[in-house]
Order: sequence, then structure tokens, then C-alpha cells
Amino acid sequence: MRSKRYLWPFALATAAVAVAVAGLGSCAGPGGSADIGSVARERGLTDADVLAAVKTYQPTGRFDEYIMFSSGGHSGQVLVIGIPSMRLLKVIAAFTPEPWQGFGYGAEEHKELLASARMAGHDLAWGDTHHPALSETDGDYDGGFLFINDKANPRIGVIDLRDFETKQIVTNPNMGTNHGGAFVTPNTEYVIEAAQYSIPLWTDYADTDRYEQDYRGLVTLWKFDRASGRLDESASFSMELPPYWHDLSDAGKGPSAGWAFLNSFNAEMATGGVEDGNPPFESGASANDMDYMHIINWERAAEIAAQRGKTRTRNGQRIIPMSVAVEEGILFLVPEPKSPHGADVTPDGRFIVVSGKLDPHVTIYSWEKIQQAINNRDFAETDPYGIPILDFASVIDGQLEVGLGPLHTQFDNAGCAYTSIFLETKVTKWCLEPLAVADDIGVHYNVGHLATAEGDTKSPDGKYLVAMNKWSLDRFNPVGPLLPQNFQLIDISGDEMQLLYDMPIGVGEPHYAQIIKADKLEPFKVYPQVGYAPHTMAASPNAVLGGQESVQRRGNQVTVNMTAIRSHFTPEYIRVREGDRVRINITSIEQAHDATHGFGIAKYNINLSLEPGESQTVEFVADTPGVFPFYCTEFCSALHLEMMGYLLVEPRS
Amino acid sequence: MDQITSFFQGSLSQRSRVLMVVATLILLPCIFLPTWTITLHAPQYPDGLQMQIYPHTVGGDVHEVNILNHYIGMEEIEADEFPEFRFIPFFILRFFLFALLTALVGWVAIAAIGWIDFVVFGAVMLYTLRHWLWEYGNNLAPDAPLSIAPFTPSFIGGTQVGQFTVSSWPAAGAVLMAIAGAIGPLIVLYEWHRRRSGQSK
Repeated sequence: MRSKRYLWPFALATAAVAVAVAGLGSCAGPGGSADIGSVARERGLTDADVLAAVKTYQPTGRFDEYIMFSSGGHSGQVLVIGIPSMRLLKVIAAFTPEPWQGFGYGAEEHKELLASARMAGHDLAWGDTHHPALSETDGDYDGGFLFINDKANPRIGVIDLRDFETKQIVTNPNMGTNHGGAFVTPNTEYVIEAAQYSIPLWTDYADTDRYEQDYRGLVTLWKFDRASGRLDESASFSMELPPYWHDLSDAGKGPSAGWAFLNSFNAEMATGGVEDGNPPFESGASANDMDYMHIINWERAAEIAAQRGKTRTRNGQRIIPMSVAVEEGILFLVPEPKSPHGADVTPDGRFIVVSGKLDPHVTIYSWEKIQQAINNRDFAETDPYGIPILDFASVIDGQLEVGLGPLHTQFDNAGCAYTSIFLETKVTKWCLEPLAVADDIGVHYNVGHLATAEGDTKSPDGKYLVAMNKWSLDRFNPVGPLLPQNFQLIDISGDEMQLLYDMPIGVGEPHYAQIIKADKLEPFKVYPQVGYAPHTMAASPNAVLGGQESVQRRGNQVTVNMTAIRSHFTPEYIRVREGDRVRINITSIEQAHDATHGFGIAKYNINLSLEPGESQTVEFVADTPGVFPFYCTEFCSALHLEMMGYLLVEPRS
Repeated sequence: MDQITSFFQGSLSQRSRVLMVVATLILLPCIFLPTWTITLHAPQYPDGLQMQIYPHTVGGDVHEVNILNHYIGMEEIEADEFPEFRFIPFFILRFFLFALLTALVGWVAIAAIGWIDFVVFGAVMLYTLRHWLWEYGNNLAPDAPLSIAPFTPSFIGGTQVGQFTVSSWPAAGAVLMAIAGAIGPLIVLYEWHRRRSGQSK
């Protein structure tokens, strides 16, 4: 009995500890409930939701495993997004002026770039980016460059992935719009661009009653010079195509290397005119059951383009006429289910997958059979322009029903493919050998393109898929009648696909994206030297180093050599007279990571971004007298607001 | 006293001379290695900012440290401002030659003079470092954007200056020199012990 009495204090102490522990457990931390289960219950999250959150959440400071480069649609830009977190990392200015990067706000190098990007005598303040293409080495992304097309104004932009900036824009004088591109050959020998809506090629103007005679399709092969990081216009060439409307394209790889495959629609050559009682384009261009996939031997075409007398020049562009292409055996057609969207070459290069969006199948063409038919000259017929047409049934490997409105296909590392199904708004997973559907998953809503991790290279990674949905409807808080697009991240590592995350895109309507392993990218942290010109990726001839600041006047030309460093510009006064031509060479003499300055002049529409080491030049006429503050437009330091100066434009009187 | 005199007039044993060769090998890289490291830590510099003080110059993130220092009116740190950098490498070379000579001829007297010279030099250099730290932390320009109380960073250990923790520690060069310096007393102890045990026999 005595011993039991001794136990009392222990029992009390134990109880006290238990109460304290229980108290701590139920005690709400700074964020409310402290355990996962009760937070999930409070927020109405299912186990699957929690699992999705755990698969995507990146704690602060943790990098994403993949980087997705997405077109930005009408924004004319490229979006850089981390996967799996779906965090927007950057918006790269490509075709559209963009103030944060100071792209198109006075910097001379951007003025030159945008001047070279003018078309039809117009300054173009927008672009419609559709299809980014990462540079490849041996059929795999190498992380060096990114090419992006502008559908609206047929142009291709070149982005250097050392600093994620646009370095070059080439215009295509012989296209109305483009859509088949940008895509690259396996070693980025060429960046390929195919036109979409045909326009007259050999004559400046022809009405649509001359459609079949004068309108033409076109594919351009831009020669890429990796050393300079530029497309070499003089070494590039084009090929004349029938006036079908060309769509997406892909380059062959492995056994099909050296060839390119282009979709087309409107093989009917409909010319619309609903107001005149004609069928509108939408039905006229969809009348036949089949359109044509174009099969082009680009390697041979490059040799022919280099030969004397085999090309015609139009607006400075060397073009292989259709007749020469037929004669040389470098252009063939094969029927494809109508209104196709994707032409995607399998990772091993043995098959080409096509889906016609008005046909519920994916059609798998065998490269081996195509080659046999070409070698045996086994053609069913020719089109109105004499281009040989291969027999559909004898070159396909199979067809598989995947759903209504199939569009684009990407691949994984296990021999399976993923096709976006527009009308049924889902993604279908199917496998090649044996040919069968494996799984599907609903997406929200109206999926266009999709992208899997390195999914169009010769060695896809699987793991992640992003469905790029055109409509978001009820997925996000309402923001008025113009809704964001919806990128949905899907886990494809298991047998069943799992939806992980919705990312709204509120800057334009993206089309295609490519996903690269993050460790393939090695961008600069700061520019390699103080006084660096990003446009030439070399030391700037206008660099101003600390101590070299000056103001020089020659007649009415005033040159200001300026430096920027935390937290002042030197000089802080720019005194000029009304009508003077002012040239400011400005260098950020910073070397610290992330110490970016801006240089904005009030009311003169000037803003530069000066990243550490960067040198920029701005030139303008001081046409309005007055006092105009200029200031650093990036919050650079504690004394950022004090980093300013005055442009004093003395009236002429 | 006679013992001490004869000790200094004597020659070093083979073993001590080998130790002197070791000392030369340790001293030589000190001419090129950083002697002292000053690190600045703040939340927006996750990797810290490091300045390495070499016998002949100061390296590392000096540019960035100067940008930061100008806010509090500190003088710019520039290698040319320090006359010491012009002769320190030659001093180290001199100690190296002393050690080499000792190893070759084996005279205790040379070893002793060299060692004392070395220790005095070390002490003076530590004092100089402390002096410069005082100089930079206490001569702040009065018209600086940020006015803070004058301060003297410790030459060993940490000091808080605004949002920065400044830590100052010996670097590889100083550690090696300390090891080379410790060889002196080691030899004395060894030789003393050796002689005495030799005499008793």
C-alpha cells in the first residue's frame, strides 16, 4: 500500500506533462492548424489534392527540375515557367516592346533590332508567338538557344539562353503568315519556318480568282550559325509549295534524319467569300476527307539550293521552285485525315504521328514504308502541281481511335504517346507497341498543344505533361469576360495520369511549349565583364568605366558618358539646349548578382534595363524644353529613390 | 649561462635540419596564399562577401564591399593604399631564405635570429591589420548617406555592423606561417633535451 502512495507524485507529473503536450498539439501555430490532416479537412482537400500539393510545392530557395519555354501568344513574348512548381520565372520580350527589360524604349540596340523586324513599312508592336524551338545537338535539347515564330507577321526570333534575351529577328518577305515553325533539324543546322495562309509568291498582287495560279505556300530553311548565335540570311533558302495552308511540322531524326514533315490543310484550295454566296473558308477548306502531309528531303534541298540555276530569287530569298523540287525528288505528299494539327516524329524517328482534328484517330506513318514507296517510285497520283502523292494505305503503320478532335502528340520514355483531344477536352495516353490506348484524363478546358518533359527529342523524360488549355471557364476567380488560359500540370510517371496543378496565363494565348531539364541551362549570373553589350555578346565599344564619365558637346550633338552604381548616376545633370541631339552611353559598373538598375527619363518614353555589367546607348532629340527628372527604375538599394538626376533642356528663346 | 652560450654557438642535429627544410616548404606557398579572410554576411548575400588579404594585395568581393562601404562613408579599399603590400612578400621570402640557410649550415644562431625576426614581423603585421581595421572603421566621411557610430571590427572573430556580420579570421597563409613559426620552439626544446641527455652520458 505504501508503495502505491509513492506513485502519486509520478502519476500527477505524468498527467501534467500529458496535458501540456495535448495543449501544445492543439495550439494553433501562426498559420492556423498545425497538422496536415486537419488543414486538409478545413480547406476541403481530398487525399489526391494533398498528394498533388506535395508533388508540386517548392519550398523557398528550391529550384525546379524542369524549365518550360512557352509561347506567349498575342503578347509576342516567351514565358519561362518552372516545373513542377508552375512558377512564372520570366517573360522574355521577343516581338513586342516590353518596359521591364527596357526592350523597345529607347535603347539603340533594340531600336536596330525592332527596325530590322519591320514589315510592309510598319513598325510592328505585336507578334503572335506560337511555337518555340530549343536548339538541339544530336536530336536532344542542348540549352543554347531558343527560336520563336511570330505567326501574325512571318518572323523568327532568336533568343540566346546565356542571358534569355532576344538577339535577332528575321522577317520572311515571301510569306503572308507562318505557322509551321519554328522547329529545328537534329543538330540545329536549320530552323524551319512554313507559311500558313498562302499569298501570291511570284507577283506582288493577284486577286483570289488567280488563287491556284499565283498563290503559293512556302517553307524557309534558316541556316543557323551557332558561333555567332545568328540566323545567316544569305545561307538560307526556301522551297515553293502548293497553295495549301501549311500547319505544324517536325524534323525527322534517327533513320528519318535529313527529312522534314509538314502538315497542311485546305488542300481544296478554297477561296471563301461567304458574302458572295460561296462556302465560307471553314467548310470550303474542310470539304475533302484528306489533306496532304508534305515530305521534304531538306538535306538534299540544301545541296540543290547551293547549285547554280536551280533556284529563283524573290525579294532577296533563294527559292527552289516546285518544278525543280519534283524533278529532283525532294518533295512528296501523302494524304492525311483532314484538318490535321500535329505531325510529330517518334523519339526513335521511325514513325510520324498525325492527327486530323476532324477525325477521331491518330494515324501512324511508317518511315520505312514511306522510304520504300519513294525509292520504288510507287506513287498513287500527282497533285495539280505535279507533286507525287504516296498511297495512304501502303505507308501507314496503323490508326488508333483516341477521341474526338485529336490535335498534338508528345512522347515519354516508355514508348507511349500523349495526344491532346480538343473536343472531348482530355489527354489520351496510348502506346505504340502494341498499339493501344492506355489511359485518359479530363483537362479544363479545350486543350490545344501539350508538352511533355523533353517530349519531342530523341530521349524524352516522361514525368510531367502540361496541357495547354484554351478555356478556363470556372477554374479561377472571375476576372471579367476575357479569361486567362489554363496550363494544367499532369504527373505521367505512373500508369494513371494525375492532375497536379492549374496555372492561369493572363498575358496572351500560348500555343506550344517545350520543357527542358533545368541543369542543361547555364545562364550568366552577371555579364562577364563591366561594359558588356548584350546585343553582340561582347565588350561594348561604348562602355564607360568608373572615372571615365564625361559630357562632350560638338555643335548641337551632346554625348554623355554615364555610369550607374548603387546608388547614383554619374553625372547627375544632363544640361542641353532645346533641339540638341543627346546621346547617352551608360554602363552599369555593378558586378553583384541581381544588382540591376534602370534608367528612365520622364516624359521622353525612355527606359533602359541595366543589368550588372551591361552597357546601353540611348539617343534622342531634346525637342521639348523643360526639366525632366531621370531615375533608376529598379529598386536597387536603400537609397534607390535618391538615385536620380535631371535632364535640363534649356529653351531656345 | 655557459650552457646557453654554447647552445647558441652549437650546430643543429640532422633531425632539426630536416625540420628546417620542412619550415622552408611551409613558408614558400605563404607568399601566394591569402593570409587573412574577412567575410561579410547579410540575408541578401546568401554566399557572403569575402575579402582575401594576400601578402601583396587584397582580393575577392572588394568591388561590392566598396559599394556597400560608400553608404557609411568608409574609404575605398584599394591595394595601392597599403604600403605593406609592397614589402610583405619579400619579408616572407627572407624568412624562407633564413630557414633554408639554417637547414644548409645548421647554425643555431642563425635559426634563433631568423625565428625572432619572424615572430616580431608577425606581431607587427597583426598590429598593422588591427590598425587598418580601426582606421577604416573610425574615419568615416561626415557627408555619407548613412551615418553610423565609428566602429572597429575585431581582427579575429565577428562584429555586427548594420545588417552585416563581419567575421575576420586567419586564412591558409597565416595558419601555415604559424605552423612554421612553431617549428622554432620545437627545435629549441628538442636540441636542449638532446644536449642534456648527451652530456649526462
